[in-house]
Amino acid sequence: LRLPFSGSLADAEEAYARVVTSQPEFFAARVRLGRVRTLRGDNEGAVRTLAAIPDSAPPVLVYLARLFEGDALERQGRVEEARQRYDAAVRSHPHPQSAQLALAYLQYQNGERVEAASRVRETVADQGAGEEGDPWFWYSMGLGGIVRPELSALRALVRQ
Amino acid sequence: MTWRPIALTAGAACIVQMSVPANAQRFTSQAIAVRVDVLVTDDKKLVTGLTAADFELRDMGVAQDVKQIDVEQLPLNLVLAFDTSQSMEGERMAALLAAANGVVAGLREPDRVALVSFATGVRLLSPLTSSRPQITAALNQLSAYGATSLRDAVFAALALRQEDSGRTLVLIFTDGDDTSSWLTAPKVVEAAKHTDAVVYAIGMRQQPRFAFNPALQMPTVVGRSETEDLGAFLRKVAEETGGRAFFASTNADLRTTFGRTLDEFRNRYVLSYTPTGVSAVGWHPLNVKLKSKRGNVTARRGYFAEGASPSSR
Repeated sequence: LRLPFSGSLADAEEAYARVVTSQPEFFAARVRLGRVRTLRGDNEGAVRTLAAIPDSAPPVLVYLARLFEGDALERQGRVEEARQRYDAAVRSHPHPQSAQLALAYLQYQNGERVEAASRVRETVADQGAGEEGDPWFWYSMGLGGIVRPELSALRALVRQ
Repeated sequence: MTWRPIALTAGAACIVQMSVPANAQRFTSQAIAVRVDVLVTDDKKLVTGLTAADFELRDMGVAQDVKQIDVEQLPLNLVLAFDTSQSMEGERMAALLAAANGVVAGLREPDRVALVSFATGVRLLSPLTSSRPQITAALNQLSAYGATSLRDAVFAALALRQEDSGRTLVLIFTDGDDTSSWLTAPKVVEAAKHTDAVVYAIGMRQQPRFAFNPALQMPTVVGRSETEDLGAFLRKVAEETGGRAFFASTNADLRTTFGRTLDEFRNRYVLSYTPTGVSAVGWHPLNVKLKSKRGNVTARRGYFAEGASPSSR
């Protein structure tokens, strides 16, 4: 399937939904469908879509699914459920900086300052969390994250 | 259940003496002292020499009896949060290091410094330390690479603020828009309402982007400048904490801008009061002004009294 690059979230949702319908086990498409639904304001739809991704899926996809599910729940004010999903994201990947910050934020806003500080200290001490360590980074930056070495080489050439 | 007395900053500028169960998430305040960090300027110049009697402070619209704390008595906790994304490479990084070393050299002995760097991810390169060699070594580790997680870093710096008697200045530097944070701008701005740290943000003023306009047959400014979003975010976070945002035009301006920031922070006033006639919980809007003298007052917009954070209400 070739997705149209129209910049339209509605088009993206429709395209991803077609993929998920025809290939229910294509979890990468399901992760993106869930995220697009959140971005379109359909948080309940996002939770339904993402919750269908099992813990047996590839760890990167499990991480993103639980992170996005937590976000969709948080946007609905379902804070305790959001915490559980963020916790699940943290457990699913070795460099979960985004999920740790999501949890720390909930703690901070709930007055659990010591716990929030401790969590932040732990995650910012993780030397592997930067760059491509946290799947959220390459998800949010798309191919930019993957082709960075090539981009750096190009920049060096331009400077010469 | 064991009870332990603790002192917390209740969100913004509030020091709360409480008894709290060790595993509790909600607190009952017994006595509250609120501290408000205030800047007074007149025609861009710092106004010094004021006393508590010169200020009128209203908490939820109710006038309070304020005292002044001598800032010289309060050690400074300086949290540096620096952008180390790819665009910082070369001369700009060198200028940043020179500016940061200048600020560190201007600190007093009891003052402490922490260093947070942010690119694609956020890293703590040094926790708060009074060791100058340690912070210099941490600064020397900075290298440019990756994207920009500005919002995540601002939140991390705020969350790392330690509960002690000192004043905390979070000094943020970035040269570009956020490209990879998980946390959203409204969330980070909301978090800024819950701290008594003062945020000063320094950004780089970037050139407008142009593209050839075929209709006019000439280059025109295209779209919205990235720095408009960046500037709005930095200003908002700074304003919520009573701090300020500055924008440097060139790398050479950085040292001056950093020095100005520290100088300004040292010349602020710290007012303290025990709230009377106001609610014990929730958001407390603050209004600080001068009674009769001339000057513009910059202070945090309010604080949350603990036990009524948005997620628990």
